[in-house]
Formats: sequence, C-alpha cells, structure tokens
Amino acid sequence: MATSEITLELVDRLVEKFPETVKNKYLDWHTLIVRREDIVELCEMLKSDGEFEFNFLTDLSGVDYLEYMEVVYHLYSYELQHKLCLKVRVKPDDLLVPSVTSLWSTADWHEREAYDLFGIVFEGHPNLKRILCAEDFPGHAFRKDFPLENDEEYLLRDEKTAEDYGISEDLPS
Amino acid sequence: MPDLRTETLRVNFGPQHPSTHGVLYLIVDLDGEIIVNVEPVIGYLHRGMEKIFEFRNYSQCIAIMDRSDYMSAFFNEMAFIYPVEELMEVDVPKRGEYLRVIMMELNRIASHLLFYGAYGMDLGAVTPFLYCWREREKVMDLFEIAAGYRLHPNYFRVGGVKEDVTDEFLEGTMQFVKELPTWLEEYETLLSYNEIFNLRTRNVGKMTKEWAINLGVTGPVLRATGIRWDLRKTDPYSAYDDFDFDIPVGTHGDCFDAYRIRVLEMLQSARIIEQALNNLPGGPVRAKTKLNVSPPKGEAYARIESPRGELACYIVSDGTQKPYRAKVRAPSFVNLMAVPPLLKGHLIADAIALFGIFEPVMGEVDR
Amino acid sequence: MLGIFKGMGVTFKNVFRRSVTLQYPTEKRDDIADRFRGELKLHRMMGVDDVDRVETRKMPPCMAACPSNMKIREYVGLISEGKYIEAVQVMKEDNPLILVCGRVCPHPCEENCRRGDKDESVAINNLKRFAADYDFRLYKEGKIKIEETEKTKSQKVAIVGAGPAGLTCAYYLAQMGYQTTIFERLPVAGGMLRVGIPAYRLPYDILQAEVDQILALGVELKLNTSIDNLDDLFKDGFDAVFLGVGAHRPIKLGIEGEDLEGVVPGEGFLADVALEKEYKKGKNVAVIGGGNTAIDCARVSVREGADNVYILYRRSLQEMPAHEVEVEDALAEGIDIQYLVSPTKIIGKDGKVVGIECLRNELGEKDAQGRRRPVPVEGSEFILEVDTIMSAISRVPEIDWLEPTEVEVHTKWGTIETDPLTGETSMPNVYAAGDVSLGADIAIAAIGGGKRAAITIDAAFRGIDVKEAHRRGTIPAMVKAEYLDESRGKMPKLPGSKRKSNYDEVDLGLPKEQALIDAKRCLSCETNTCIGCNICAESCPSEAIKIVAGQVQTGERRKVESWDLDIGRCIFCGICVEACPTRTLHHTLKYELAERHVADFIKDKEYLLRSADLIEQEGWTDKHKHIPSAQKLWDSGRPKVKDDALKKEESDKEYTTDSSLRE
Repeated sequence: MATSEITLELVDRLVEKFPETVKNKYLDWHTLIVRREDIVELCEMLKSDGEFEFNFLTDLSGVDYLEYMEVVYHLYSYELQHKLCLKVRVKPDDLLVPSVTSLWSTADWHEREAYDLFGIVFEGHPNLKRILCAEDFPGHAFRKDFPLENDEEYLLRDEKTAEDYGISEDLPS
Repeated sequence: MPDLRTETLRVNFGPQHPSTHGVLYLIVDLDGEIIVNVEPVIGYLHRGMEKIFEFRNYSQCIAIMDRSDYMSAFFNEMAFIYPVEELMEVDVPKRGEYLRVIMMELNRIASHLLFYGAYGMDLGAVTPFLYCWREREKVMDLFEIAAGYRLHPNYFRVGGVKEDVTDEFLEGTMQFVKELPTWLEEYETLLSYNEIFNLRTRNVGKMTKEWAINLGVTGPVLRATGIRWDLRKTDPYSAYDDFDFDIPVGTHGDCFDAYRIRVLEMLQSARIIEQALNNLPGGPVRAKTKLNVSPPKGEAYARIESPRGELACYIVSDGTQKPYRAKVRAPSFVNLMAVPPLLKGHLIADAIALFGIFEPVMGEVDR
Repeated sequence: MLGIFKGMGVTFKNVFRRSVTLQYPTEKRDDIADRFRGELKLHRMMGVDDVDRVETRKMPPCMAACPSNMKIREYVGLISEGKYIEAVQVMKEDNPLILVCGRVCPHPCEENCRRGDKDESVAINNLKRFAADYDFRLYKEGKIKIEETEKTKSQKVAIVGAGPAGLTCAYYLAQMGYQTTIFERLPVAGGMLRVGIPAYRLPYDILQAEVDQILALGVELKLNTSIDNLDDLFKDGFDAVFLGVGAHRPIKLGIEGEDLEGVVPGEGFLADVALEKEYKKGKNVAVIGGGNTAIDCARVSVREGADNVYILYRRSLQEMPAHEVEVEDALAEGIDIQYLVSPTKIIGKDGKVVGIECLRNELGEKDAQGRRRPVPVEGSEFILEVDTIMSAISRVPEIDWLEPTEVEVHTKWGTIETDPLTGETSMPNVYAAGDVSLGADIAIAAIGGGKRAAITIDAAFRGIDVKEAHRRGTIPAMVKAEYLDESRGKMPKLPGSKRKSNYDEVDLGLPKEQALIDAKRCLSCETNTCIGCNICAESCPSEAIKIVAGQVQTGERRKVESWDLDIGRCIFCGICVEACPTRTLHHTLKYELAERHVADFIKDKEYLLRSADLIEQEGWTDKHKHIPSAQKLWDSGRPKVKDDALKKEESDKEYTTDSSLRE
C-alpha cells in the first residue's frame, strides 16, 4: 500500500477549474502554482471533494526567492494515499496570503512560523504573531536579504536573480 | 460540580521545569483544577538552524542536523539526506541501506526507552527511568563503537554511511536485540501493569482520528487513535521494504495506547534489526559520492518515520554545494500544536500525562 | 580537646590544600571505542617537522586504484620540482609503456583522486604523458641511451603475444637478467594497442618507439609466429612460458541477419584499418555498443569517409562504460549517439545490409552490479538505414589451442584461470596476464599483470616464496613543492573540424607551465603530513579551524605556519578528519575537554570574578587578565602565587602528585 502520486487526470481537472494555475512536477510531487485568490477555494475543493480528500496538510513552508516569496503546501490524503504540492507566490511588497487554518488546524503554527521568519502575512489567521523569535525581534530572519554579520552573500544579493535558481515561470498575476 | 466557577488562575509552567523535557514555557489558565486555556511559548532553543544550512555545505548540514532532535540523531541525518539523494538520484549500496536501517531502529529503541523512563517519571514512577537508562546506555555504546559519538553520530552520508561497522558492533547489536524482549517484559511489570499508572493514563485524553489528522498529529499518538499509518510501511524508504514487521495500532486513542504502542514498537524494531543483521549483504557501504555534493537544481520533499512522527525535509537546491532553502518539518513542532486543544477541560494533574505522550524534544521544536 | 585541634587541623588542611577536584581522567579509558572522536591533533606539519621520510605505508588512493600500482604521488612530486627524467625513472619501475599509457589510459587513478572532492582531480595522466614526452624527446636526440642488459641468469622465458602484458613481462624479465623471446602472430608488435586503438589516439610511431626501447634491452621478438603447442616451447629449451595473447575474438550480437554482408566485428574493422588491409568502406555506419571500442569504431569510420555514423547503446549516458572525454570527442566529430536503443533485427536485401531495426528502452530495476537494466518499450520499433553494422560489445580470448594442455580455462568467459596476484595458471611454469585472464580490459591492467607475472617468474626461478616477493615495494615520496589552489588545466586538442579527415593525434600534450601548475595541485594524500591545503578549515561547519600556510622563502617548498583549533567552537563532528586528504588530522581518545592544569581554570575564574562595571571601567580585554586586583580577589583564602612561571611550575607538580594520589 505504498503511497502513489496523484494521477495526472486529477491534476488536469484542477487546472481546468482554475485556469490561472501553472502545472509543474518536482520528482514525484505534482506541483501547482496557484494564484493567491484561488488558494482557499482550491484547498476547500481538495479537502472536501471525494476524488481528492486531502485531509492532511503535511507541511507549509515559506521560501524567499528575492523576486518573490513562495508559500509551499504539501498535502496528503490518508484515505486515498496520494499527495500534491501547492505553491503560492507573492511579491515582496505585498505579502498577503489567505490563511488555510479554517480547513486544517495544523496550518496554525506553520503559518505563524512563516510569518515570523519570512514576514508573509496570512489573512484570516486567528492568532498571527511571532512564534520562534522574540516578540521584539527586528525584521524577518530567514529572508535572503536579512543582514548577517560579515556576510558577503548579503552584500552581493542584487547579483542573484530568480532565474539563477531555475525559476522562470511568470508570476501569476 | 460543573457549574461552580472560580476566578481563573494563571500558572506559569516552565520554561525551566523538569517535566517539560527542555525549555518549554506553558502559560496555563486554571479554573480551580480545570485547565481553561493553554498557551505554549516556544523558541527558547531557536538557533536558526534552517538559516545556518543556507550557509553550509551539505556535509556540514548533516552534522548540524544531528543537533535538531538530539534524542534521535540518526533520523535527522536520514531526513536530511533522503531528499538530497532523491535529487541526485544516488543508488545507495544495499549494505549501506541495511546499516542505516540498523542504526535508525537502534535509535528508535533508544528514543522510546527514553520516553518510557521519562513518561514514568512524569507520572511519579522513578524506578523505570533508572532501568531504561541502563538499556539506552548500551545502545549509546553501540553508536560509539560504530560512529564514534553517542548523541551526535554524524554517520550517514549522501550515498551511504561513513564507514563500515566492525564485528564488535554487529555482535553487540545482536546480543542487544536478543536480550531486549526479556528486558522489556521486566519493564512492563513496572509500568504497564501498574495500577496507578493505568488509572492515570487509561481513558485520559481521548483523541479521535479526525481530530488528530486535522491537527497534523503523527507518529505513535496518531497510531493510538487507530490509524494504521507508519511511513516505513506506507511509503517505504531506505531498505524497509525488505523486512517483515508489524505496526502496533491503538483502539482508544488515549494516553495508555500511545504509551503502549511505543513499547510494542521497540519489539518490532528489534525484529527489524535482527532480520537486517541476519541478511546483512556484503559489498560497499557508500556509493561513489564526493564529500561535498552539489545536487542539481530543483527541489525535493521526503519524509521518514521518526520516533516522534513524520519527520520531513524540504530542500530547494540551486545547483551549488549549499542548499538554497532547507525546511525541516519537525514532528515535535506539529505535535506540540495539539497540546492546547487537548489539554483544555482536563485537570491540571493530567496535564503532564497528556503532554508527555507527545514527547516533544525542544531542539526539534525550535530548530 | 585533642579532637578539636585535630578537627581544626583537618579544616586548615582543607582550606590551604590546592584544588584536587576538576581533574578528569584524560587518558584512554578501557571501554572507550576506537572510533571515538576526541580532541583533534595533527601528526606532522610541512616546514615544521622533518618530512623527508614518509612513515605511513598506506597507499594513496590513486596508487591503489591503478591496476599496476604506479607511484603516482612520487612522480607527480618529481614533476612539480622539474625533475622530469627522475619522474620517468619512477614511472618505469611499474610501467614500461608510459608513452602509450600517457595517451590511452582511461586513468582510474584520477577517478579516485582526493583532489576531486575539492574541485577537480589532478591531471595525473596528462602529467605522465608530459614527462614521458620530455624523456622521449631527449631519447630521440640521443641524450638518453638505453643499453642492453647483461644476461646474468641462465633461464629462458618464452612470451606469447607482444601486447602490453607480454611487452611488460619481457621488459622486467630482461632487466632482471633473463633471456626472453616474444612470439607474435601478427606482423606488428603491440597487440591491441596496435590493432585496437586508432592512430589519432596512439600514433604508431610512438608505440613503435616504446617497443623499440624494450627490445633494446636485449629482448628477442619473433613476428608472424603462431604458437600452437605449449609443449614445443618447453622442448625448445624455455623454462617458463608467459601467455599474453589477449582477447581478439568478437562476441556475436545474437540477432537475426548477422551473417549478411556489411556486418563486421568492430575489432576486425579497427585491425583492418590499422594494418592497412583492403575492406569495404561504408557510407552509413551503425556501431552497436557503449564501450571505448564502440567510440573508436565510430570515430575511425568518420575518418574513413562515412557520412552518417550512429552509436547505438542500450542504456543511458550515465551507465555508458566509455570514457566521458571520448564521448565528448565523438560528439565533437559529429557522431550521433543514440541512447536506450537495442537492435532487434538486421534487415538485408540481396544478401547485403540495408538497415537495422531497433527498439527503444527505458531503464528499469537495478541489477546485481547496481546498473539499471534496460527494459524495452513495446511498439517503439524504428528502422535506421545503414549499410554497415559494427558490433563492439565485447571480445573473448582465442585459446582453443590450449585445450590439450593442463591450463585451466574458465568456461563461461573463455578466459584462463589465474591467481590475480601472481599470474600463475593451473599448469606449473605457465603464467598468464592481461585480457587472456581478465577478459576485455584496459591496457594498464594488462601492464600490471605482466609486471606481477615477471616478479612471480623471477621468484619461482630463484626459489623464494612467491607471495613474499610481491609484498616488497617502496613507499612513494611525498610532494614537496608549493601547493597551488588553481583549477585543473585543460588538455589542448585539435579542433573537431581539423581532425575529421586524418589520423593526426588529437591530444597535443600539456605545455610545461601548465604541467608544473597541475603537478603542484597534488594534495600528497596519505602522507600523515599537513601540507596546508585548507580543506579542513573549509569543511568545518563551525569555523573552528584556522590555518596559516605559506611557502618557505625560496618559494619552492610547502610550509604550514600554524594550525589552530578553537576547542570552544569545535563540535566534534569529524568532518575535517574525513576530509583531510593526507590523514594527518586525527582524533585523539581524549574524551573530556577539561583542562589538564588548574592554572588554566584560574585564568578564566579571574576573568569571571570581575564585575561588569570594572570591566567597562578598565576596558577589560583578554590581555588584561592578570592585573593585580583580580589576583587579590582570587587569592583571598588561597596561598599566594608569586608569578606566572612559578604558578605554572607548581601546578605541574601538583598535577603529578594528584594523579599519583588517584592511582
């Protein structure tokens, strides 16, 4: 009863329903880059639809690509034993992402962590405050442009672009 | 007397408290003896580990990852290496995989023994702690023989393990797993059949499947609610496919089930180790990989079953020798999230029993 | 009353007694594991300790990977010092065919080079070729002469086959003073080196020069002479026979239409071209196989005027046994390499080949060796229109003539059963090495086998223990010239367009300046001597190691100024020890980090006893640790310590007495 990938037909069905979504695949994870307006609706469908039944949010992590921030959701279904990865991209000047705590309670601390370390603001989160760092901590520590002591990477940060990291898809507007 | 309400009393529990297994701070609001609200405050051990990874080579990350969940270091190493190997498509030699399995299962035993002792002590039984510590010490000695260090072995490498084990280790391990069932039987007379322990854990903190899944609870606590879910079986990694073992599952979803599952898991781990030792293949223990690997551009997410639950690592590689982003999905962190809703409505005396079954290791929670 | 005084005495004794606590045992415990990662230490440092003698007997990884165990560290070191002739002499101790190996060796040494962990491996083979070419130039100019060796021994050895194994065996036997005679079936010497490797990789004159150098030692060579009976050789007065006949019989493809005209074995084709025989030239050529021979066949076909050349290989590039550089060269010459393709049928018309039907594969499960097995994809058949098909899948020895003798033959592979170390066969006084015992393998494996067989033959004649004879060997010296952090030099090559039509040598050889740089990149592995390469500091996750390395003022020898470990930062992960190429860095079994001397604690305590405002007021730094005010605080209730030197001396004494007390 090994875990399987979600079938391609199901992924295509999602893309049909949300046409702005970009389909992608990293190793055995089908990945969808979703507009942030769609994420809650999509997640509701993923959770309640009998064909998906994603009842478990394994992980939620933030990634800073300098040009944009990414929130990565790793979903899993205990019933159907398939998995799916969702991504939401936001520009650094507008870090607002709808919260999915209403669907999966486990998103609570994950979202707080992403807020604490990346400054991504989750709209609708019941208790959005810092979790790992102290409450008076200045800035968001895991951002790539967070100043480090004697850090050359920081000084040279403008020379790295998202394309350097192999991400060339356009931002979903 | 459900109608009787008193003024809520705020109790500060921790950050330094012997029962919090580290530096956890719980703000507990009490109404008489009943817990009204709990707010965990974490971050006292936050080292910015994931940020540190971004400035370290993969080989160095493994050494630092050891310090995440310091009670089960081999799982941390495996969790970090697994996605890197997926990215690089490394074929690990069979002997290397078997050695990994042996190490991880020994570590699971050590970790569960620690839980066993600590949980008993949380509930006032000091004796089991002393006994289980003796057995755990034997495992630690085995780690020292194989890897050179007890808690932070830094033994797994991308493509296998650091070096082959000695005969001394194999013999010692065989002897240990042969003896373990007898010891466990002895221990169970101390706790499992102890009336006080039974009264304090049975039917305490009953959890339902849906509740646990919704809160992201994994590991023995999830299995206690009756879900047959163990990544070693359901999404096999390393060489777990080759072994015959069972997944103990609870029926009530209470503290006692979560405790008992761990005890039974130790026996299953011993079974796996025994099979691995008997069928240990020859050959190299490490694929021909460099010490400083540079995986191709891309990202990988891989999960393993640590003693505390689903331990996963999400790695974004930019093709250099250092990860662009490495996020650790720490089971303790997610499981701790379930503590406030679980504790609500319980007596303060049960708080420790309920909190203890999640067995959070603060190094992993705060990273 | 007396009791009170006694009690006071004890109290005073305790008050004035020096501290005996905090003395952790620092030596090896009985139950401590051998692999325990204790405090880090260096064995020796360059420029600090005497390093002219290499103490370790462990082989460096390059030497261990070489089938002939060439002393790579030593000759690279000599090249780095500009001593090219000496380097060649060192090479020739293990390999008489250095001009050849410098060109065609697939260099397993470089795959195992520890420098490869850092950036790229040392260009060992290019360096070998550089030194060999230098030596050869002097030889051609007559500055180096090779003299016939004196035949001091009475025994005669017959060597069958003038390939690399036979030539090597003859070379070493001749040097030991034996009379040797080589019998060769072909009209040329060199074996597979001559008929299996195209001239653009190994020019014939180079090979011939090497053969001539060996013959100059007094080795007799009989060309066009087939041997078909071993007993005749013994009857002719030979005391021992060495079989180095190689593996020349191609394996058949085993598919339909193999007997059609236009299907040729790859080796046969290469031999025909090499010996300038007549053969039918193809216009569209398909080569089946993924080894170096397949690449050679394709590249020769391009030079012979074929328009389209395909290589069909059933696995992917990753699994391809051909050398990476060769593949790149082939692609540069416009050869179409098709991966994951299996031929299923050869299509003929009027008895001639017109095409080949193939099936596409995908990679499946791993087999026993860890290579992924190709699985055919249903319905993916396609036809390639070709007029010539070459099979270069493998080859086996032609040793049917040995059947009546007692020499045991491995039936599955058709190779002779030999002892892999000594080259002894099941028949006394008959030895074998090279492809005839290994199956199709690389030249250096045959050379190593020939060398070892020569040692065995000598030991057998002299009546000493054969295994003992193989055990001797000197330790290669270490590289002493300055260490360079440069990247690896590129081998200059003929451009792809220029080389399509002729057999000129493609690799041009390293220039001298580049050779010196490449040689100085060597890390001098397994010498137990720090060379200041900085790899330990780079690999430390907590930046605990500081190393200052430079050169002695002459600018030639390596030197390490200092190597410091910040024990407070060290996390004992052991990565530095694993990364250290020279293995000079090692763990001691010291398992507690407690200081050995109480004096060391006193220093810290003084510092700690300072109050915060005092520190601010006095600008308290590490340097100010011993100002008197701090001393006063510490000394209250303690015996006075006059000065640092005395304190140190006393604490030394104290330590010794304490340890005796403990025992």
